[in-house]
Amino acid sequence: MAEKMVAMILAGGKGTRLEALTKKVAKPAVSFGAKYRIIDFPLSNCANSKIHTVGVLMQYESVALDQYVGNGSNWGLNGVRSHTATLTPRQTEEGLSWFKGTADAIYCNIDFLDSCDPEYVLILSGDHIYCTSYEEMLDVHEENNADCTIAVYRVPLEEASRFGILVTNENKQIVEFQEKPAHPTSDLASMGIYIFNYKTLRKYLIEDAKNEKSSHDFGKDIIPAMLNSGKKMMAYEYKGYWKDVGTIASLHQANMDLLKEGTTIEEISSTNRLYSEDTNSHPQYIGANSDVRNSLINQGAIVLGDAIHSVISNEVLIGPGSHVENSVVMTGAKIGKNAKVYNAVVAPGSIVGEGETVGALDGDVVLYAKKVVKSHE
Amino acid sequence: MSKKVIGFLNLYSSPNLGPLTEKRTLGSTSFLGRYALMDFPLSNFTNSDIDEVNILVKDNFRSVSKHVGSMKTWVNNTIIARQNILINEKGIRNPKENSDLACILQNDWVLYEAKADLIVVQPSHIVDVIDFRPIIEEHFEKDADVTIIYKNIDDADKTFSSSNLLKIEGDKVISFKKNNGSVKKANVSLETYIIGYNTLQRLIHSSEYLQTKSLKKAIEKLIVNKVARVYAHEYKGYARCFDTFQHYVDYSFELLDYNVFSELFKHGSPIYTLSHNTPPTRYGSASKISNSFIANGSKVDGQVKNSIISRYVTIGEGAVVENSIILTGTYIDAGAVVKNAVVDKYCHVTSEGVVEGRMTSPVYLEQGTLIK
Repeated sequence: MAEKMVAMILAGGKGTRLEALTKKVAKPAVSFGAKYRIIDFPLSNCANSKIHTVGVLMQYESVALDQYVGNGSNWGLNGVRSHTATLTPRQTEEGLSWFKGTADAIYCNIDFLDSCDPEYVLILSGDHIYCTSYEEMLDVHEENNADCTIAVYRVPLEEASRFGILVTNENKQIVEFQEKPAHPTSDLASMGIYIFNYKTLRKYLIEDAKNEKSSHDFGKDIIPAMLNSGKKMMAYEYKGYWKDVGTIASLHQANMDLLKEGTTIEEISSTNRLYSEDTNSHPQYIGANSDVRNSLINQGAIVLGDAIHSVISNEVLIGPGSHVENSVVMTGAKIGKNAKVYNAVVAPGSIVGEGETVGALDGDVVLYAKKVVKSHE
Repeated sequence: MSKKVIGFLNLYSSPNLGPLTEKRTLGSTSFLGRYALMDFPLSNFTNSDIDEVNILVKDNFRSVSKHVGSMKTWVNNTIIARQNILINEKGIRNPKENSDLACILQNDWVLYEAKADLIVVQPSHIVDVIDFRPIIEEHFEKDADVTIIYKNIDDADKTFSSSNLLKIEGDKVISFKKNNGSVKKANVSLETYIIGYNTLQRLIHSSEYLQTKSLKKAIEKLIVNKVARVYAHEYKGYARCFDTFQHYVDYSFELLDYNVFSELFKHGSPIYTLSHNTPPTRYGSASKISNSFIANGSKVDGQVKNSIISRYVTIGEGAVVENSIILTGTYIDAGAVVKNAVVDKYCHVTSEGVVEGRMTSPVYLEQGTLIK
C-alpha cells in the first residue's frame, strides 16, 4: 500500500565531539533527560505525526542503536500499518560501500523507499532535541505545492555564520542558501529537517550519485542543486524548543534546560508526548538523609546522598554522604560514598570512587567516563 | 520431552481491604507507586518461562482489564504466548455457585487447547518472588499430583489469616487446614500450587470436589481422602499476605527498608508492569525528600517523608506529606498537610487542607475526594 509520507532518520554519525560518550554507541543512542535517548525525540515525533513507516539509517556503532530501535515498539511504530526498518550499509552485487554522505545514505536505500511508494519523504536528523508533529509542516508543503520544504529556526544574526542559512522572500519561499556564511543576510537556520516530493528527490539523488565531485550531502549538494534548477522550496519556521547537542557542554546545557521553568519535558513536549524504552526498573528511592532539590530523576535510581540541580538516570546509585550538583548522571553510573560531583556529565555505567571529587562548582563542564572492566575470561 | 506448563492467576481468593478495594480487585490495587499487586505473580510466570497465563476473574472486571490490557507486558514470546481473562459467566448469573473451580470448569477449553501437562496457580494477594522452573522439575521427579508451596513463618497468629497451614511428613503434606490464628510458628500455604492436568480435571469434574467451592478446599479434601500425592515445597524468600488494609499499609512502608526491598527486587527477576511513558520525576528548588519512593511523572516542590508517591502526583511548595501513600493523579497544593494517610487516585487537597490519621490507623481518602 502506498504511504503518504515515510520518515528517514539519519542516525549514522559518530558525534565525535561527544568524546567517550560515543565510543561504543552512536550519538542518537546517547542518553538524555534522565530517561530518554536522543533518538526518542524524532521517533516520538514520527509517532505523534501518524507516520507509519520509519527508516533509521545507521552506520557508526550500529549494534547498540539497532538493539535500541528494534522493531519500533517503544514508539508504537510496530502496529499493523506501521513498520520500522533499520537500514545499515550492505553488501550488494556492486560490492560493499559505506554511506558517503547524508544524501548517499538515502540514495543507497532507494529500493526501500520504492517499496514503500510514498508521496513524500521526511528527512530527519537522529540527534536533535525537540518535540513536534510534522503534520503542520506537511500542510505548508502541500498548500504551496512545493518540491521541498525545509524547517528553519531563527538564530541570533551574530551566530548565523555557524549554520546553513536560508534566505526567503515574503511568501516564505527560499531564494538563496548560504552554507556557514561569513556575512549572513538572514537569521533562518536550516534544522536539517526536509520534506521532499519523493519523485523529485529520487531524481536528484540519482543525479547526485553520478557526480563524482559531490560530497553527497543534503545541505551542500542536494538543496543547492534543487534551488539552482528553480524548484519550489519553502521554509517552515519552527518556533518551539530545539537543540542540537553536538558537544559535551551543549549536551550538559540541554539537560540543565529541563530543570528550568519553560523548558521542562512537560513544557517542551506539551501535547506531543515522548515515548521511550521501559527499563522495568523498580521505583526510585530517596534516602533518609538525602537532599534532593531542583532535579529530574528517573525510576530505578537510588539516591542516598544529595542531588542538587541535576539530571539522574535509571539504575544510578548516589552513595551516602555524596554530593551531586549541576550534573548529568547517566544510566547505571555509581557515585561512591562521600564523593563530590560538580558540573559533570557522568557517562553510563561509570563509577566515581569513594571520596573522589569530579569537576569543580565554578569550573567548566567535565566528562567523567570510567568503568570497571569486567573480565570475560 | 519438555512438559507444557500454563499459569492461572487466581483472583477468586482475594481478600477485601475495605474501601480501597471497593471498586477494584486487590490484584489491580496500586503498590509502591508503580505497580499493581498482580504484577508480581504475573512477573513470576514470565521469569519462569510460563507464557500461557489465564486470569480467573471473579469481579471488578474493569480494573483487571484496564491494567492487563492485551497482556503483552508480561510475555516472553509475543506470538507463542497466550493470555486469557477467564470469567465464569454462569457464576455471574448465580453468584452462589461461583468459585475458582467453577470458573475453571466453565473455561476448561483452556486446558484442552493448551494441551497442558501442568498448571501453576498463584493468588494476587500474596506477594513473593518464585522461580517455578526447579519446583516443576521436582514435581515431575516425585511424580506428584499436587505440590503446595509454603513458607515457614513465626507470626502465623497475625498474618496469612486466610491461608491454610501445612503439616508435613517427610516432604508429603498430611494435613492442610485453615489458619485459625492459634499458633505463631507454622508452615503457611502461599496459595501457590502446581497441579497435574489429570488432578485438576478430577477436581472440576467431580461434584464432591466442586462442591467444596474452592480450589484450596478441594486440595484439602484430596489430602483428607488420601487419594493424591500432595507434596510440599518450602520457599524461603520474601512473602507477604495482603489480607487487611493495615497489612497493605505496613508492608508498603516496610519496603522503604533497603534490606526488605532487596529481598523483593532481586537481580535477574525484574518486575514487569504496564508502561505509561511518564517523564522522570521533577523536584523543585524547595523540595525536601527523605526515605520515600516517588514514581515518574510526579512534580514535587514540598516535603515528603516516609511516603510512597505514585505517578502524576503534584505536591506544591511548602506542602507536607508524611507516612502516607498517595495514589496516581492526586494534587496536594502548596501549604497542605497530609500525614498518616492513604490518599486514593485523583484526590485534591487544597492549600488549607489537612488530612491527618494516626500512625497506627491511617486515614483513607476515597478516589476523587476534594479536601478544602
